[in-house]
Amino acid sequence: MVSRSKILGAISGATLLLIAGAAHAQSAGDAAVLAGPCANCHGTDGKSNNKVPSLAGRPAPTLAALMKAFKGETPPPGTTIMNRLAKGYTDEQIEALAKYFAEKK
Amino acid sequence: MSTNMISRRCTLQLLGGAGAGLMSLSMPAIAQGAGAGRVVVVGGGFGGATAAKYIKRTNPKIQVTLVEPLQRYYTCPFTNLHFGGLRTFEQQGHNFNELRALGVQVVHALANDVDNKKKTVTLAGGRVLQYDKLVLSPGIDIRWGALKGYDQAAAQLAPHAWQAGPQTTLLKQQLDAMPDGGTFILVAPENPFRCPPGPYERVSMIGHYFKTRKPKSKILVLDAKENFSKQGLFLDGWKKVYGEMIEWVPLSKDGKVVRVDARAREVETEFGKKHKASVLNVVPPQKAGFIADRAGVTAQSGWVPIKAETFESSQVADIHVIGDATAAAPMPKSGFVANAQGKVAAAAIVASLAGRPAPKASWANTCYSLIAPDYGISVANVYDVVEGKLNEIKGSGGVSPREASPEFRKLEAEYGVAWYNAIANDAWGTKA
Repeated sequence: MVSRSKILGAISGATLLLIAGAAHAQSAGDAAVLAGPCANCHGTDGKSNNKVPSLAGRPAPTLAALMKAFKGETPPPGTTIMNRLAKGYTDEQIEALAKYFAEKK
Repeated sequence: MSTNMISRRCTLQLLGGAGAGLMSLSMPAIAQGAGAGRVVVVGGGFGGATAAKYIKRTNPKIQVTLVEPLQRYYTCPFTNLHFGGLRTFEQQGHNFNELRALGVQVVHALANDVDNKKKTVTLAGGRVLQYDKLVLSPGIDIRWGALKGYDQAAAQLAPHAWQAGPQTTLLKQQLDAMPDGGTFILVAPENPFRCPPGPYERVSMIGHYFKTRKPKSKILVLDAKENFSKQGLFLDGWKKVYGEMIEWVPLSKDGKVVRVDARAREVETEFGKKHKASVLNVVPPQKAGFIADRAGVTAQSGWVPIKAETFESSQVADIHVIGDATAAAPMPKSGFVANAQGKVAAAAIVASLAGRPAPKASWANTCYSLIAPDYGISVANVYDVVEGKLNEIKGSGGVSPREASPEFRKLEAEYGVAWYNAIANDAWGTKA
């Protein structure tokens, strides 16, 4: 059993840091869920075992630019399905996804 | 419940809402064991295997038990390619070694019963598993007798092959034994049912088998519906690749079968027309797997209503239901969706055990179908929650273009195989 006073002491010691951490973690959880279906073709954590390109560890700006191009009026040559999928995500979600996969090594 | 958990709850009352995130995320040393709990997952398919894996890899402290009767799970997706002669049956089989290596306890037994008040699952043989959170991913059961004449005995003569296993092998054997010039009949059901494009990919792949081995044979689809998934693309493709071999009869042209005589391999339609088959494949009416009924989560419709954000049953707390068993329109009953729902449920469960709200839910679906080995088509969608309901995001998704180059169709055929390899690896960790 951990005493309440001990916990509160620990909290007051680093309140600002903790609040920042919690806010960040919540959005990270959202990004992981947002990224969930990507794995079904691009591999778990965006590490592909097939001809679909890997996403893991690629620079966030590259990934975001690609997704926005898929979403646009003239998707990159050779596009088959990503134009249809990319239209389901807002630019903010695309940025979150790009960051999420860029951080996967 | 641990004492840590209790002290944490007291503290939360003091801190208010913002405390939840503080405690569980930022004080692992103090709140050791926080977020842990016992999760039982019933069903080792696309949904269940994925949910078990993602819960365990997100929080290894959670005790996860996966209950699946089969040592080796065979997927229904890609069995159509087996009928086409493109894959062996074994290629659709997946083991549970990766899940075990992750620390998931895999129990090969049938889950017989759920007590949603005591929070227990009873296995065949009598073993009882206690849960804090239960995930049911039971897939479908056949509604035996819902189509007159189609019961378990009839399925031994006229297979459904809508659950991978002995039924798949039986249908393949019948196709192999059929003489050239025979007629294959597929009876397609009303919506909703597992894998909406499945019947139409199946006849495509059997068309490929006939074209290459038994070119005088015919295919007849008797359909209880007026429309089906990727209809225009399938009809175009059949004409282009198989000429007059495949005939589709919709509801309005007396396509609805009302009686099956499996022994005679004969079916009768709504307006009394009889069709005789050399090989008869009945895709019958379906419902959620029986364990969902035992758990008290199945509705009158035969399917399981869920809360959109978490896929928790809307009837019983702490039971999440995913995959084909759910009433999750506009999402289709597909392996891809079951996996995506599994991840959303996993995230919600991990968060709930840690005293946090569930992350914002998001899903996608991609279904590839093969018309011929180098002729693939697809449908894709992205989903979110709007006002508590599952929503297909406007402007997203859709089917492959009606006009496309042979290179485009070939690419989609290749991406279909890539999808299977990726999702099998994601769910079971197996190399396909």
